[in-house]
Amino acid sequence: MKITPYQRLRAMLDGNAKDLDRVPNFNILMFFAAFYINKPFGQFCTDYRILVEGNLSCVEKFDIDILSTLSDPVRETADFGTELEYPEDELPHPKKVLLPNIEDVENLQLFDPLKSKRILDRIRAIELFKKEKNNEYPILGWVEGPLAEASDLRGINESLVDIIDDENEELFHLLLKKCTQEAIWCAKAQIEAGAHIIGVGDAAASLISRDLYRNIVAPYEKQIADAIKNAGGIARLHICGDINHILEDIVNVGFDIIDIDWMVDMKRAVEIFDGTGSIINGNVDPVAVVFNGSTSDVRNAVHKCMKDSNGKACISAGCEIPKFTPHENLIAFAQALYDKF
Amino acid sequence: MTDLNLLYEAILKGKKKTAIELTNAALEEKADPKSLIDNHMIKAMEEVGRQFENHEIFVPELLMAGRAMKASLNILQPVLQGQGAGVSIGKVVIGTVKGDLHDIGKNLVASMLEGCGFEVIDIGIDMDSAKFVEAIREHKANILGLSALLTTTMPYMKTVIEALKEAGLRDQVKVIVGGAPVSQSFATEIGADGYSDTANSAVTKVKDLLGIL
Ligand code: B12
Repeated sequence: MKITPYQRLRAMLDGNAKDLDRVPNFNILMFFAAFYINKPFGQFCTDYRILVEGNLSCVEKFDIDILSTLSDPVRETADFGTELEYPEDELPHPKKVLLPNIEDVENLQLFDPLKSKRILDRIRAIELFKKEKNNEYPILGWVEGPLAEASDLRGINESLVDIIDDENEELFHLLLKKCTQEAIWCAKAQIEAGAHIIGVGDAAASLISRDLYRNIVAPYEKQIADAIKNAGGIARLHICGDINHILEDIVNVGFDIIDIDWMVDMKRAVEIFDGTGSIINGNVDPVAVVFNGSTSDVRNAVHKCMKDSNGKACISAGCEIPKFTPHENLIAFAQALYDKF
Repeated sequence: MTDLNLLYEAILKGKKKTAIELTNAALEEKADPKSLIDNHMIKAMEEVGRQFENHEIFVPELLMAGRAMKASLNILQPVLQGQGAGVSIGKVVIGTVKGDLHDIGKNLVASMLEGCGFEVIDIGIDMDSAKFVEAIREHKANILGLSALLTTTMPYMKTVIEALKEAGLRDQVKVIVGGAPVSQSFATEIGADGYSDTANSAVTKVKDLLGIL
């Protein structure tokens, strides 16, 4: 009997990777998936049917083991009330930030995911994936992490000052608290709709020191991870960028899957998480190798990740697959996963 | 007497209030503003840059130091201008190129340059070549800094350089480029005058290009 992508992931999480045909291919597609089906990226972000069509087409063609609802980082930001610009073929982004002053946080209103616009669109994508591929593929829902969302609402250059400026300590914590609560609601609504995994994207956390991560951001991330697991979901953390300096602290945050970008040391990451019940996912360089490399560069890089992780990690590029990635590179990526050492 | 090592410390640690107090106190004691900047404040920013490069501090600490530096400079600049000595050692127009919204790195470079005595005109993100040309004309800048963090937006740096040539401004400005995916070989290929991968070395590079030691 053919093993399904969902079973592949389950076996990884249960520590039974040895019996598998290959480890999961967890590549993240956004721009690439829209481009692949010839649809403007703006539509991919705003119409769940396009997002679903793009992902379904790609997972089959490129042997990918996950159905993703990722498009852009400002879904919650929009539903909190930020006015967005939707360029035809680029990333939606705020016209201006919702909270120009940290005091504005007191008036920030949470929203009901089921009555929202952009998170509801993501929920619809999950429902449609479920209808099309129930339990064959793991379905990936997504929420923004506390620091990422705070940064989207305040502007990242402001939030990265707020986080260290003791003058605004209380208000910044209030902001993180509200973002965390909203993330929990959005995560639960997505799990109820059928998502198996909830990814928590907190890229801004790669830009701060270990102390700030441990003392300020990690406790809020942990609340989200706990809520996802309590609701029966698999919790996945995605911090792109260099997180070598906070890997040890991430252990205690309790996510089931930890994404690592290409600049992180795979061997060390797998060692740190060995026996903790969590697994690593990563970490081929998306630009230098997947996009710009030859097929044999891709194959070698995938093999290196497999060896460095000793078959214990899911394999993917460290972040999104670039829009113009040659198709043969993604095919080489998928094929390399079957090779044995 | 104000202990000027404390001013150095205040900027290094990003303590804006302390930096303002110490700067005011030093001025009251008739300290030479130029020497405050050169011997204490710029030294602090150089140390900040070094620590950032070595991953001893991260973006928040760097932003805080930049804020403290700027606050002190704002106090000193009017005094210097009053003395007829402009502080600016060069005029920089800087921005992130079209299609690209990343600005953290660009802002750090801008604040380092400012901290080290340059006048910096930051025109923002997602800027097309016409905006760069306009800003250089308007401000009579002698340095142009271009930032790009995406492989898809990097090639636009070349478009800007071409636009400078067409506008007849290419000889008037030195172009320096940066951003994570940018490399020295890319910079050479598109005809930029310089490249640097950190905010600290950006300052050295710019000084180099202008022949300031
Ligand atoms: C923060 C961030 C964002 C924020 C940006 C917020 C902001 N206001 O800047 C948001 C969420 C908006 C964002 C969006 C996207 N991002 Co982004 N982002 C990052 C992240 C996490 C950090 C970048 C950063 O600020 N680094 C810190 C600064 C200090 O470093 P730096 O910019 O390199 O700057 C230093 C040097 O390069 C140099 N320098 C910089 N500029 C200049 C200029 C001059 C003149 C000189 C001399 C030097 C110089 O000095 C600086 C100081 O030392 C990186 C991953 C990472 N950790 O690197 C991804 C990353 C840059 N993003 C990436 C991508 C793909 C995107 C998106 C397309 C993703 C998406 N689909 O959502 C969009 C694109 C949006 C757009 N059109 O621009 C990729 C780029 C891949 C590539 N090379 O093409 C990265 C590398 C992530 C990854 N691993 O794939 N992103």
